[in-house]
Amino acid sequence: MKPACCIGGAGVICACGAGKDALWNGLQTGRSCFALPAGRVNSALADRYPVFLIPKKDIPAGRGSLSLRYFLTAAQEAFSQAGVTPQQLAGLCTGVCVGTSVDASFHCFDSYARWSKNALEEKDVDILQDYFSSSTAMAAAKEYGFTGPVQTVVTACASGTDAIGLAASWINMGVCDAVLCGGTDEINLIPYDGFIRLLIASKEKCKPFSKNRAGINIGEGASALLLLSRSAAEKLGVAPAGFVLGYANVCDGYHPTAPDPQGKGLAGAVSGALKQSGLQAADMAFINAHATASQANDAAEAFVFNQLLAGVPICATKGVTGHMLGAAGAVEAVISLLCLNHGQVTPSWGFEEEDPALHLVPVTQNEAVSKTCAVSCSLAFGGCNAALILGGRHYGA
Amino acid sequence: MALDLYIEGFAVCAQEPKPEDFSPWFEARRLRRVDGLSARLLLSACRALDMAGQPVMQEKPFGLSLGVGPGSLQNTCKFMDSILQDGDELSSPTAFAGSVHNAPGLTLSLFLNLRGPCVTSGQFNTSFGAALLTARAFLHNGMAPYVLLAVGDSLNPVARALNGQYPARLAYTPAPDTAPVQAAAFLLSPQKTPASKARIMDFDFTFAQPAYCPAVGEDWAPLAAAPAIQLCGLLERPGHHFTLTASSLGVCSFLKGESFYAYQK
Repeated sequence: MKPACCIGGAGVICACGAGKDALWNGLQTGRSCFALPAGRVNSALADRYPVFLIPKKDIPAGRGSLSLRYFLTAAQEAFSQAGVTPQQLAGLCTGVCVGTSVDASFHCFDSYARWSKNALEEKDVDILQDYFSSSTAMAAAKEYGFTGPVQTVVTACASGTDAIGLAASWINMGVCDAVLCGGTDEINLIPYDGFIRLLIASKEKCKPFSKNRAGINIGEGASALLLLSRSAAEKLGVAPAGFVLGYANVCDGYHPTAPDPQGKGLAGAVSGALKQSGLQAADMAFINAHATASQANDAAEAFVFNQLLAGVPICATKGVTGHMLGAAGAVEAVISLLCLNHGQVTPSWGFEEEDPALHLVPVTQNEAVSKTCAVSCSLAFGGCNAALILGGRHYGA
Repeated sequence: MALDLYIEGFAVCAQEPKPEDFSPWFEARRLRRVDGLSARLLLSACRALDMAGQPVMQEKPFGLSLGVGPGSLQNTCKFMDSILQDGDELSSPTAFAGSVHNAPGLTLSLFLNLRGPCVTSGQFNTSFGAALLTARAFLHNGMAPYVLLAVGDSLNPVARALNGQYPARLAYTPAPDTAPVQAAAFLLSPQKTPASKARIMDFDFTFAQPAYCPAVGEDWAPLAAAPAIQLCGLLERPGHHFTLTASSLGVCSFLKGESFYAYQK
C-alpha cells in the first residue's frame, strides 16, 4: 500500500548555500562556509570558536528575522519542486509546523541590555514587539494565506525532526490536506556563548564519531518540506519526492544536557518509528545520525545503532553543515531524501579515526545504496529523542 | 476536527508553589534547583495525575505535551544577566541549559518518571491549542496510553514594564498586575475510563478563522495558560456541555465537550 503522507517538495538553505544543489555539492566535496562569526556575534569568544554560516551572498534580503527569511527561502524551493503555488494550497486545509530553538527564544540581547540600564530606545519596542507577537510559523501562514493549524515546536535540537513528524501526523489524522513543515535557526549570541560555556563547543571543525572528537560547531540554516495527503498530491498532480513513513519521540528523563549513556530514549524513538512504518532495521538504506561530535551524544548513538541497527551504514553530516540546532533535524531529513533519491550515501566529513569505545565507523566515501528508506535521528537538551523513517521517491515502486 | 479525548484529571496552579505543596510526593530538597515555570507545571501535573488516580512517581510510558508561552524567561534573563555582569567567558552554563524551551519537559519527565514522547510548543498565547493538538497526535498514533498536557508561563520584567509603557503595542505582555504564576495540567486518555471527568468531542486549531473567533474580552489575560485555566473552570461548573474559544495573534482554538465531573462530585 502506498504511504499516506507524501513529500511533495523540499527546500533548504545552510552553510553550503541556498538550495538542494548547493547542499548536495557540499555533501560531495565537504566544502561549506566555516568561519569565525565576526560581525554576526558580538562575543568576546568570537575570535576563537568558528561556526557554520550561511554564505553572505545567500542571505535572503527582506523583512523579519533571519530565521523567518531562511525558512521562506526554503519554502519557495519546496513549492517549486512540487510544482504548486501557495495559492493552490490555500484552497486546501494547509497547516504550518516549524521547529526552532533560537527563533522562539527571548534572544533580544541588545534590547535587554539597554533595558537593564534604563536606556531603552524606541527601536527596542519594535524589536520586542516582533518577538512577543509572532513566530516563523505564524508569519509563514500569513505570508501564504494558509488557514490550517500553526505550530512552533521547541524541543531544542530535535525540533526540526519533531516538526516533520507532527506535521505527518496531521496528514495521517486527516487534520490537514497539506502541511508546510521543517525547521529554522540563525546564529545568535545566546546559544553561541551558551554552548561554549557548557564546554561542548570545538575550536576546530567538528569530527563526528572520531576518537579525537572535541565537540560541536553550531551552524545556521533552514529546510522546508511540503507534505501532502495522497489525495491532495493526486488532486494537485504532484509526483511525490518521497514519503514520511514513521515518527516517534521518546524522552530519556536523564539529564538536562546529556543523553542517557545507553540511549534508552533514542532506542525507544527508533523502535517506535520503525513500528509505525511497519519496516525493519534491515530495510534501512542508511542512518542519518545526529552525530554532533560531542562525547556524550556520539557514544549514546553508537550504543543504540550497534544494538538496534547493526550493519546499517551511518552518515554524519554536521562536518559540512554544523549543528543547526532547531533546524538540524529538518535539514538532515532533506539530506536523507537527497541521498535516497540519488541512490548514494555521502561521506561523513570530519571523521578521522575510529574510536574503539564506539565500535562504529561511519561512511567515509560515497557509497551506493539500493534500498529506498532511511532513518534520521535527533537528540536534544531536555532529554528529547526523535526519529523519522523516510522513504525516497521510489519507495514502494 | 472530530475528536474524542477524555480528561482523566486536571488541576490549576494559581499561586507560586511552596516546597510543602509537593510534600505528598517529593522531599523539598529535590526541588532546590527547579525553576519557577517548571515548579508550577510540575505541581499542576502532580495534582492532575493524583486526581486521575494514577501513580505520580512510578515509571510510566505516558506522553508529555507542554505549552510554554515564550519558554523560561527567568532563565533566559539570568543567562543574559550573567553575560552582562560577568562577561561572555564567565556566563552561566546552568542558566543557559535552563533557558531551553523544553527544559521543563526534562524536569517533569525526571520527577514523574515519564518515558513516553515529549514535545514542547512555544507560541505565546496560542500554545495551549498547539499542545492539545500534539497530545491528540500522540494518542492517535498509539505513541502513549495517556498524555499529560501542561501549559504555563514565565513572565519577564521587560515585558511587564513595556506593557505599562506601550499597552497597545505588545500582544504577549501581561498587565503589570497580572498574576505571574499560572499553570494548568490535564491527563488525557483516548478512551473513557471509570476515572474520566470530561470528554472533548470537537477541537479546531486554525489560523485566521474568524467564524470561530469572537473578540477576546478585555479581562482575558494574554497568557499561554489562560485557556487551559479557563477550561479547568468550565469542568468545575455544573452542566453537561461546554465550549471554549481562545483567539490570539490570528490563531484560534475552539473546543467543545461534555463534563461528567460536576455530577461525580
